[in-house]
Amino acid sequence: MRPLLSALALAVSGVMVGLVAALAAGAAGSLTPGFLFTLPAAAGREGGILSVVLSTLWLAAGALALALPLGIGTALYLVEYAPPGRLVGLIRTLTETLAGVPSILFGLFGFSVFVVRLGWGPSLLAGSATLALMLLPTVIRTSEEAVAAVPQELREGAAALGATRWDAVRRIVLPQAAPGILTGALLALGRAVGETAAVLLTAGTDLALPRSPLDPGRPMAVHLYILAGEGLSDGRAHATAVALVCGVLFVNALAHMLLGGRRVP
Amino acid sequence: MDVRDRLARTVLGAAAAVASAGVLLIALAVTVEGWPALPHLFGAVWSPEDGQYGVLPLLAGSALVTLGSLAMAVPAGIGMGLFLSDVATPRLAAVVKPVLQGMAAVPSVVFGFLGLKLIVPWISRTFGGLGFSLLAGCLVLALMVLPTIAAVAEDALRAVDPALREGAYALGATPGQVAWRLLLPAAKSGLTAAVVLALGRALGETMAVLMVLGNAAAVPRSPLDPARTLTGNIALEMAYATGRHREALFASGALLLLVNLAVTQVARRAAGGRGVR
Amino acid sequence: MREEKAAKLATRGLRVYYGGREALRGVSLAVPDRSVTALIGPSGCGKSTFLRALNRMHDLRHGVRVEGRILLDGRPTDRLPPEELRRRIGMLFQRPNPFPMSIFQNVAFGPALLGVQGEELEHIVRTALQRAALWNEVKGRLHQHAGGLSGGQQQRLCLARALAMRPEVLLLDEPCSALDPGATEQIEQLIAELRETMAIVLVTHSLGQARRLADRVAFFQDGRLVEEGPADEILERPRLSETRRFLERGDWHETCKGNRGSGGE
Repeated sequence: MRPLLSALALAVSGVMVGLVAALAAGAAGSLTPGFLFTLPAAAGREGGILSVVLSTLWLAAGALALALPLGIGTALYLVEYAPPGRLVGLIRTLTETLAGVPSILFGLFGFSVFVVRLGWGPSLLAGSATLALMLLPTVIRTSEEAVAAVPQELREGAAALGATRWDAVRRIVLPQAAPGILTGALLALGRAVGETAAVLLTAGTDLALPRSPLDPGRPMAVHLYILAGEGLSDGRAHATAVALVCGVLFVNALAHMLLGGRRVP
Repeated sequence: MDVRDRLARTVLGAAAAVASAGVLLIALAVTVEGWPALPHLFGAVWSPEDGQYGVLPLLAGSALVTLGSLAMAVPAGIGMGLFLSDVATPRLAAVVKPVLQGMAAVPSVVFGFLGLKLIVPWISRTFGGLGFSLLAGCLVLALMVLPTIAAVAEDALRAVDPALREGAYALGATPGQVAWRLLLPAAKSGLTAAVVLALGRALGETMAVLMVLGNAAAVPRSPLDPARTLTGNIALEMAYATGRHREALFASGALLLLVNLAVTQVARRAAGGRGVR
Repeated sequence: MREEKAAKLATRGLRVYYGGREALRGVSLAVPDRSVTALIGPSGCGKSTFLRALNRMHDLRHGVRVEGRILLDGRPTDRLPPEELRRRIGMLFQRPNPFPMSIFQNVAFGPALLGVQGEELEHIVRTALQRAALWNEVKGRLHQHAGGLSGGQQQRLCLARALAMRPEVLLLDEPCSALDPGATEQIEQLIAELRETMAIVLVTHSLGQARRLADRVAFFQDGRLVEEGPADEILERPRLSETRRFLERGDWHETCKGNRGSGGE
């Protein structure tokens, strides 16, 4: 068995590494620092991807700005304030189910509610709101774990000094849980940057530099999809892909380092 | 309870309520938007130009690409899990695991791009045709879900009591016999959970498969035929769909949600109700 | 050397290293057939390490090195495939470790590895369970899960499982330490019966058990074999003061000075 499995591991690792190498090879020459800081021209066939990078960052920032308070708040509610009984289980079931929903359906939801009914149009705002909903389960899961891991003795110590539950949460629980929560935020960030389907339907595909949250924007993932599908500028497509992968891997590596070897939830 | 605590409980409770409502709101939105077109989905042809909105070819595409990818990814993923838990030295595992973890983090559009640039031409060279095919979709999707299966499988196999392994070896079993006759059966519920997780991910995948599957909204007759999934269909046509067409896309989204929830519920029960994280 | 020739199982200069640490220092011991050889000594002093070397269980761990010779019927065991060696030398562990399967499947596990099936397999299972004095208790529920048995029954099941392979040598690593006195008595009775047909090596922490069962006794300390010989000689009239001090101390569960908390390794 051992030789067989070792061969399998070698093959799989080899394929994985080979794919990354092919990506890097195709990007050679196109991925210069200038590439990231130059605006695109001629529908992406020329120039760089500055507007794309900025759209990516705006979308991610907006998504986290919405998802973190909601997600951490939910986690705090589940651990600190929820009445014992079936409510906690219900909330968890609903948020876990949300985790399993295909990303395109978030896109449909975002399109229907944010783009059309709320009238935001295809925009960074609609995209961020949609992404935030997608990121909620990740943020809730990791935050809940982090908050629940804070030892009960610390809360009891605070209570014995006359602190309210909120005091304890603010001054003891949150600081203690901060690394775990940060990890969750990083994982969510990685997902936000890599997401395509949901954003495609809600943030539009305009390549121009967005100047307000109601402007449409095209993040890196969508840009890659469009360049690839239309066969435009192979080198730039590869370079975009490499930039995207590097960004996501970097964020994930940070998250794993913070976790210190524990299993990613 | 202190005023501040009551306020906190209300605010935090509101956050929890919003988060909980999420999945319900999504279900509501797609159903409301798609309701009028729902009956039209029962058909065998998807051709919006002709007013035909039968989802059968799309369901077939989704089912085939999912099953095909799992047929490859499940044995390979469990094999990788077994490699990491019982064959690799700690140093080797420390090299292989980050590779898998890295691949799990790569966005699906990048997998689609690589599939487009490498897998599609290879299929075209080896088997003829354009290369955009069910096979390409299965290969790309298999690569995407393999790391997940491997990670969960490794956990499940490690959880098997080492004392049991010792007992089996002490009876004269070879490593292969220990794995096949003891470890895999003993880790059955965890391994099933791994497959369930992969199944859910595969069904919901959109972009990567869309980029390599070719563009034919018809039931594929061979692995080399092009196809289209339910998810890819929505992504592709939403940009320019209006009226009844758009309603049909929403309705297909509602159907997708239903199928996804049903499949994962059934499979989770088959895995013994074990929560998978 | 003459003893070695006549012995069923013998070691010559056996050494075991865990990483850089020498856990077993040059042990030469002859185990005669149709007898019980008891290994005694403080915890963590090499008894279990020695035992596990006999059926090459150390091969399963990374970073463990075994040197020296082990002879079965006068022939070196390193020439044998480990699987064959382990079929001829059976092992019972400190804590019962029944497989998560039915009682029948547990006992049948070993023979099934060799392709035995059908009536022959059923016969082997029945015989093994009878030899382990478990048949009458389980004959009506052979296909029930083994987890439903009591601790003492589980250990007898593991014994039946080992006996199903018809081993020539049986290695027992403190087989009664997790059992109550009633179950202990049953196992001891079985050991006394099995002595008639095979060579038994028994690691024990109980002076009483050694007195009741052992034909020969070997005293280990600090990874060395201090002295060995016929049971009544070693237990009543030991030659070396170290042995005498150990026997007098009466607390056989104290840990070996060099290896804390290794649990007999």
